[in-house]
Amino acid sequence: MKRAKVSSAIIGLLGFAALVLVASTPAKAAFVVGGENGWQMSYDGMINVFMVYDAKSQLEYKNGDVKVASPYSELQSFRIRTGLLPSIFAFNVKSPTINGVDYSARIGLYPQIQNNGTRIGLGTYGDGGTSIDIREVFFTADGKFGQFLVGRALNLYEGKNILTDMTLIGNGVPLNMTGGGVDLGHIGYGYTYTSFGPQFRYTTPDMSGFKVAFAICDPSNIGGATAINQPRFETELSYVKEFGSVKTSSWLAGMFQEAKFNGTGHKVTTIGGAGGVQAWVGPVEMLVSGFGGKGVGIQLTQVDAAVLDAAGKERVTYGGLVHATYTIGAAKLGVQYGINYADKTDVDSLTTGFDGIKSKQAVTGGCYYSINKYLTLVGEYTWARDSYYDSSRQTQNIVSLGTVFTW
Amino acid sequence: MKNDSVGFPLKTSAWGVMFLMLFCLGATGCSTVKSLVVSDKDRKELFKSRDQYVRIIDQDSVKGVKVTPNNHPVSLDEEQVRMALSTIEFMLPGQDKSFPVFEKPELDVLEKYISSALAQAGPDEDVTFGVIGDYRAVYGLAKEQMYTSGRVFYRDGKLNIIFGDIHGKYWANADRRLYPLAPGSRFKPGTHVWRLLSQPDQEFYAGPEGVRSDWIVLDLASMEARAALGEKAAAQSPGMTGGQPFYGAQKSIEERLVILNDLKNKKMITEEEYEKKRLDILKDL
Repeated sequence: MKRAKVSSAIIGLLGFAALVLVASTPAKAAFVVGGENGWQMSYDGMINVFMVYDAKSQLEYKNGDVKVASPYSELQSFRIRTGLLPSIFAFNVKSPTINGVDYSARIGLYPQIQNNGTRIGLGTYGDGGTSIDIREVFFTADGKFGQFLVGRALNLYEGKNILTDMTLIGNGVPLNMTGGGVDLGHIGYGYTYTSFGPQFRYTTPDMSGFKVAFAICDPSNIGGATAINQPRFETELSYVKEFGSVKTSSWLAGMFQEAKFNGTGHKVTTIGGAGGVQAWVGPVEMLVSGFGGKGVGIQLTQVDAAVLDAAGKERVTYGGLVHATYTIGAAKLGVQYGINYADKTDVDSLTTGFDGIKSKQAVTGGCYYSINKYLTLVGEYTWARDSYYDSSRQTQNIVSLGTVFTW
Repeated sequence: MKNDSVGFPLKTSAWGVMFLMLFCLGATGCSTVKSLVVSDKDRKELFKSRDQYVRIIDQDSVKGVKVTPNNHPVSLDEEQVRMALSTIEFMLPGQDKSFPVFEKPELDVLEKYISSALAQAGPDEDVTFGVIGDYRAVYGLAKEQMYTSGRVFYRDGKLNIIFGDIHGKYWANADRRLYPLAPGSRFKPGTHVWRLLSQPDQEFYAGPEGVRSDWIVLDLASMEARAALGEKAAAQSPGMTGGQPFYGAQKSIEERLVILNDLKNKKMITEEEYEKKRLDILKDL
């Protein structure tokens, strides 16, 4: 009863805050400096702020027995924090066309807003505080030959999976209740997080709607395998086509990398595939996307606990995301469901009482209301459940209300 | 477990791919890079600068509907095209002043390439364009990029422009396959918030499905005659605070009467038109 009263009060507070935001007047933003001599600098960005109420069950078995009792602080929380995306402040430089080639450079700074759980705990990036995460530092050369991208940018593998997530400008599932860091959206609940990384990338020109991209990427640890003497390769084939009044975008992506364990020299491999189809019919937009592979992980690509088993064997993981949205005037309403699975390896099966993660699923209902082209209000309700191989599970109910200012 | 020996961990082909990518990247800076993909579209692209373009493309069509051929090729002076484009104005909801659709940098591009494209296009071809302009923002402290796109063709002595968008928000890094600077269509009226202003010698196309607010038809001959007379192009719209545009340089009443008399003597206008116009000019005294 007490929990219900607190919840009602917090939801009421969220609603009041939303009304205040609706009544506020947005600022007009600026973008471009220079340009008269062909060189141009512009800046763009985004700030998002969410009030997040999260109620989580105990980690319990299906019969209701508690497996591990969580402290109160991990069962219910209210936070004001960054959503799935950090805030962004990015600088862009564009050259004039030089011998048929257009050069651009971009440096994107991604700060966050939250404390790390205490009033004065600004924290650092490492503990999810306000420090700046420099996610984008790259330049491009564009011409009739296509595009070369060199530097730090969003990786190709599952890049489009996250970019098409309905909760990209929302909040989705919180990363944690008391700490810092961005929230997850549906990362881990429909796809894995590809992250940003250094790379050399080539993308073909548009060939009747087709583009192929190929990237040589800075490699990552694969689970605990940290000895790496080769790059990671990623590729993406994308296709955009209109069929009458139906506009579609589809893609296939792949990833390959090897690494070894220090000491033993045991070699592990990441091989992943991903893909999706997005379609627009009038005010309706639909998405189906998925991924699968070994050594990929269930939430953070190549690095989470599900990547390898106890013997260093790559675990097979896969998942998918579906959503539908409907736009009415300035409002977009949508529902999204996603689930990721981790298969057991032979070693897992032989381990008595194996309690590794089995699946992560979440459903989100969201309303995204554009006050104008710069300011969006977001309201989301998310239900999420993590299930484990020992039949234990943990469920969350999350209400997020926030605003996103983009320029 | 086997501990592999130290050495090249990748096959030669993988190293070859990496070397090729680096070589190609370097080659982009050395000289004009020839296209790896040659298509018919490239052959008819008269202007291209990043996402900006002027192209000749086939007339848009739908199955079972016959499209009236254009009067192409047609020879229009760059000055004629500039004059026509510079007179087009629009308003946005909630604002009490009108704005020209094109400013000088855009007109500099379009007058050259649209006139050239119209001279090269065939009867079953249109000219399409997408241009990006820098517009004042934050009280003039900075600029905001916006794009305007459209489809141009010449038919029955008139220049037709179907706008795809006017001063649309331009996102430089968007996938242009999904968010193209798309020209307007004969068959699919676009949805937009802007409103083109009705000016003398400009009318909105009226088709079987009604008047198209995104399709403007410009009478170049009439514009030229007005330009010769130095007449004002636009009637003051209610709530409009901007100055009225003029066709060409403004002329004195005496000069306009002389030109009008010349037109009558050359039998380019009737006696009735002469008298009506003469009274109009005298009203400006």
